[in-house]
Amino acid sequence: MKIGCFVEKYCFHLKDEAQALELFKATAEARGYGFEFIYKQDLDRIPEFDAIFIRANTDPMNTAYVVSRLADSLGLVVIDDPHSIRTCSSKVVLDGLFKQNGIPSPKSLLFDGDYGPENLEHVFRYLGFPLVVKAPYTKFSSHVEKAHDPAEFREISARYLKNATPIVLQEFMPTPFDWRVGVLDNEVLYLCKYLMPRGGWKIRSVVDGRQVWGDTVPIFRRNIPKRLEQLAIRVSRCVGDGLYGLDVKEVDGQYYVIEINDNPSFYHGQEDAKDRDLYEKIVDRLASGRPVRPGSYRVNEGLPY
Amino acid sequence: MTIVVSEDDDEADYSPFTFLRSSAKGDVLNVSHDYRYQKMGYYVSMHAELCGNAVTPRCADILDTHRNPLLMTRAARAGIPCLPYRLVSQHDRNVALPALCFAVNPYTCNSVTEVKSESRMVRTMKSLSINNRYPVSVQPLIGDVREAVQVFGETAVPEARAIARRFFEEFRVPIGKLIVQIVDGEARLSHFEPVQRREVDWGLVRDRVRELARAQ
Repeated sequence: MKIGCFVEKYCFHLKDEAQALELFKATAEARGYGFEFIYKQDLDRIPEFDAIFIRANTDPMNTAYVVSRLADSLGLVVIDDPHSIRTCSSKVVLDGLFKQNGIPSPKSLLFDGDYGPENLEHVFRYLGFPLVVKAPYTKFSSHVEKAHDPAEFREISARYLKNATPIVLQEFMPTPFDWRVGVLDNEVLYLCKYLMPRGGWKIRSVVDGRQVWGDTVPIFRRNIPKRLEQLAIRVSRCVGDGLYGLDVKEVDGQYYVIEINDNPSFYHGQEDAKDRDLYEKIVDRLASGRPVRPGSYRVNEGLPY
Repeated sequence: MTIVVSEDDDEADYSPFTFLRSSAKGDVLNVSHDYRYQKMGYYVSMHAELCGNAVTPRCADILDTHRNPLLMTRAARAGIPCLPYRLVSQHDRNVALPALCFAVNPYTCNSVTEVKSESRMVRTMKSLSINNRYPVSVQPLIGDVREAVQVFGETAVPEARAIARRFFEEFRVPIGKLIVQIVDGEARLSHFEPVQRREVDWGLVRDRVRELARAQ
């Protein structure tokens, strides 16, 4: 069993992330598997491997998607699989996914640049101010901004519409933290709280002109609230049985899904701080010979959450 | 069948943005001159899939056509005559010249570059790889390079007619530009790109859509 781990140089820039990558390698080797980091110049070597684990940023326009699709077309086990990347990489797609499946999430609208007074009145009345403007390709809280009035909305939305149409508008839902639920094979893998930094409203915020990240509070997965677990599993089933990280807000005891991410981050000492077996579980899934099964997008199981 | 067309068309059931707010049921035909990721043409197909419908073209097929290595791998497997390609992530003196280069980066959509000299290759690699950040697909330049706009598998370029038909059978992308090389009188596929609105024969598109609508 040879596992190829697709990375880019930036994956090793942060110490905690590099340590997590080394732990994946050590875990695989302790189980008797080969584990090799591969880069963009190694794409021709994909057929040499039995499984591909993608750790570089995924997006249908990134090299990682080409790697995923090539591996998938060869019948290899690949995490993240191309279906999951296509689904999770765009906030517009997730907006549709949540609506089609009745997943509780903040009120939202798609916006294609119709600045007519009738449409704007509808948008502002439905979402209120401040409202959140999201480019479809947001990662790590980038390209997500808050508009406090119509003029600011016009400025931000016009900027985002230059690169993508439509974009997502969302009601502002302030919370002190987001739940991060790691899911593998439609089961909870790890659990964290991603705290908002002091003075910020996103996990990565600009406070007093400086970019700051909120802290991570790891929690044993066995302590996950039941309804949060059911919701996370239900959402993951819409996408597939791969590896995901869900961001969920809790307001007055109700859960609202913000997004489901393929390619969730792993920083040693954070996501792995409580359930340290996550490395074994992911490596075993890669070595299982069982390709990730895409979800059907629509899950009509009527599960409670 | 539900028909969504990016241009005004009497046979269309929806405009693209109206379709995104609908809950259409059944088969969907999505006709657009631009299916690039993050653009409306792509999202129409994605929305149809999210609603649980069969759609032409599918999102996986759209992305395969827009990423050169995926296009070439799949087209070759489908028996479409293709040029061999190599992925190069930085300038490599072993690449044979002349060559035809294509970007595999997220930003460039019209990237076909003919390279006949070493110095031009250095500049092309730097540009298409965005300073060695992304790979570049490099093919041998051994024939005349032609652009063939295909509409439902038809094209006005005589040498590319067979390829256009087989491309549409395999990928089901109704409108797009095929970049081919004519080698010894035979067309070989090199690349696919979105077309400009003005490059499309919308009369032909309307005729084909009408035929499909009547066939239902």
